[in-house]
Amino acid sequence: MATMSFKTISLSSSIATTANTARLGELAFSTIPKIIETPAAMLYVRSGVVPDVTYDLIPDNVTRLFEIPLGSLVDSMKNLEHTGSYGSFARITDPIYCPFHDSLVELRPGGSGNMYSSVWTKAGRQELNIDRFKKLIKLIQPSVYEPMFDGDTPIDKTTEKRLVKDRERSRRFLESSLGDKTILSNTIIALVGGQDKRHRQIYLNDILSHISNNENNILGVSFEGFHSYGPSTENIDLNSLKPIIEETQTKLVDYKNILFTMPLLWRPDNVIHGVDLGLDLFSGAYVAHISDRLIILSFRYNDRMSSNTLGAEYNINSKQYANGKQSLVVDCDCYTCKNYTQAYVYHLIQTKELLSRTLITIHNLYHYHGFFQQIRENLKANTWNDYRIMILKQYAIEQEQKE
Amino acid sequence: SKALNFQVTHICNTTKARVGCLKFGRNHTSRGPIETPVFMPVGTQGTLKGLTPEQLHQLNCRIILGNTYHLGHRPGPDLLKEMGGLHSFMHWDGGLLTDSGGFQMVSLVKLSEVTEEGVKFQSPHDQTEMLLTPEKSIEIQNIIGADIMMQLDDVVSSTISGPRVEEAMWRSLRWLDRCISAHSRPDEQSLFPIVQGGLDEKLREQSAKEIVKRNCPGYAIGGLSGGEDKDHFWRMVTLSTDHLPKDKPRYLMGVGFAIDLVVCSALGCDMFDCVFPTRTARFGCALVDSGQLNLNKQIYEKDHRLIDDQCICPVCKSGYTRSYLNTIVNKETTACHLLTIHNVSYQMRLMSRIRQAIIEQRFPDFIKEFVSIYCQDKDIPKWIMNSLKSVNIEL
Ligand SMILES: [Zn+2]
Ligand SMILES: [Zn+2]
Repeated sequence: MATMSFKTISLSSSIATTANTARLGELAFSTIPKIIETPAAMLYVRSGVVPDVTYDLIPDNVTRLFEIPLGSLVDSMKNLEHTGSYGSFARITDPIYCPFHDSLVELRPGGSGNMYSSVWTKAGRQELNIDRFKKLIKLIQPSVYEPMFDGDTPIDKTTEKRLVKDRERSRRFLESSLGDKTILSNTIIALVGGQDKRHRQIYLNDILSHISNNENNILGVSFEGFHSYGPSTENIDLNSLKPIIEETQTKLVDYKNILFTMPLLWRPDNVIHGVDLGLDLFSGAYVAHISDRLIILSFRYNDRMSSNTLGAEYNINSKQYANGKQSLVVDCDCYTCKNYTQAYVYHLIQTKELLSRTLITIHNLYHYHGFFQQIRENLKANTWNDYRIMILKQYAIEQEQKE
Repeated sequence: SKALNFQVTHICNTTKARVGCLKFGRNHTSRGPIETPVFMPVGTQGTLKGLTPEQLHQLNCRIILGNTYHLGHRPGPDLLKEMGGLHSFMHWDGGLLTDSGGFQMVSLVKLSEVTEEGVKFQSPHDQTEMLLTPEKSIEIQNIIGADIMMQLDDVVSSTISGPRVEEAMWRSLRWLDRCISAHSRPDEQSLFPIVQGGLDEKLREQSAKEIVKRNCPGYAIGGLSGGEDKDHFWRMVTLSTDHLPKDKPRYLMGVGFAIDLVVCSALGCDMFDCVFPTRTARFGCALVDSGQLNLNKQIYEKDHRLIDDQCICPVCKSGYTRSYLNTIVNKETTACHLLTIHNVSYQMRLMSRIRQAIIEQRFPDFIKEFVSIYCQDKDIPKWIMNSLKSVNIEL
């Protein structure tokens, strides 16, 4: 029985001025009395922990849907036996989504075969065949997971033959997951086919019957295979994928309660484009990605913030902040900004102290999830059009003026 | 003095141990007085290994240590002055103690040379020649603003003997007087002298007697815990406490292994510091009464017990098992945070157990039980037998 369900909430029509498909939604759980409103970012968690931050320090406004890439759990299989579930093993009570790939780690070509696919970690490749994958999912017992797929379709190097293999294998892996009753429920199905419109169409057609036959067990679809994951996806041009995504949505128009997600390092301007494209659930890996690079989110995301001179994001590891007496972002109410100065964070970086990344991550989590909260509020309040422009302007004034 | 108030509240009937209450004059110790014997974790550069001040308070940590040598270099006295001292810079409202910088200099900087004027050294950062005088050390410590400051002393290795030890003892005394005159904030900060004299009983006795004459708010016992024979170590500790006034806090520098804390509390010491509990956490080790668990080891893969089921730290309380921690140590920095939380908490709880045992007049039994768990089936080391015998405990 599915323990997680999704439903979309219709928006008033005046939002259609930008001809977009932005939408609100709600994720509900049968096991926990809570509702997660979408569009939302997940909390990126690796090996059961948020990088650099213990759970007591996670800001209150963070959406507690944990995104735990499978690669970070493969090593733990031995430890995990007889523990019931990864949730109880890692002391996690919030819902867990296990995407097959880690948005932070670049996928290198050649990781899959007819009977296996690979997940990638910083330490390298971990091969999973169908049985091992299923065993892992049974050990983890995630609230929702993404069945294994191929998806090894780098933009420029993908041949026709590769795309055919990608489809065949992904379909085989999907069917083996859906055919196993013990791991059948709560899946997010990977849609593959690279950036090739025709192959994506074929794949969707191939598996459409599975979606209609398993509607209760399928929470949503994930747009995979567009890119190779990892740092470069921060700069992806999302608008170039628009026709492909729209075509999929047209095809799935009758399935109102299918959630749309996509792995990516979701820079805030791309989040806006993603919301415009009707995506509901966003990887939260961007926060871990920039925090690791000592970058501070500083864009203005609500009316209470004064316009700042720092730009949309800035790197705190710069000498100009060595004497900075202000907080990372003025007007920010996060724990870091309420208690520390730029000078202190800069000092922690210079002295290579762990607390630097902790404080930076706390701010960025607060800022990023606060941003998603504002997205939802502006969608509800019918002010989406102004809001999206305000954000996009901060990220690329020139580009936006062209539109 | 205005800056520090110390009261012994309980005295052990058997050993030289005592329980005390330490208060600082400034209002930033809003979370209550510090109970002694106390362990002070080391937050070298204005932070304690990834933990926030709130997390430290939650672990009942009320006083931490900062290193003047490091802080003097980064962020440096100018910025610290602008920021109103280290307390506000690092957002810590608990107690703070700084060392003089001398020890770090001698141990970290290869090219250092001691003259009567001070410690001459080449900056490891820009190779310029610098001189750390007693006056300079106090000037920086006054800017850092710690509740307790240390005098600059002439540090010699605890494994050498001969005239150099005597020279260092007398020079440290002369430097003490220069530190006292240089101290510009005696109403807000307390300056502790350091008993020196290496492993020479006579010198140490002389050193203690001389510094006691200066009537300072508290005293430190230095020059030990540098790899000397443990049988020498404990004799020097107990000799030092014998000559220090009963109504002033006694700080044994650089000591922090659990067994040493138990024994040296019995020998009459009130304050301790050591980098070990936080450093070992970084390598994946968790402290327990029998020593430490190296959670990297394969034997913990299927060990579904808590680190320590008696532990009250948030990590053990939330049910993290050895098996789970085994999957994240050396992989995620968050594992360092978790083990640091446990280890600091372990130290705090150990001190609290020691205090409670002294208060309830069952410290001898506590020690016997602790030693038996610590040594398990092995023979009890001689120095432990001897030291405890000196305070009327027969194992
Ligand atoms: Zn902030
Ligand atoms: Zn613990």
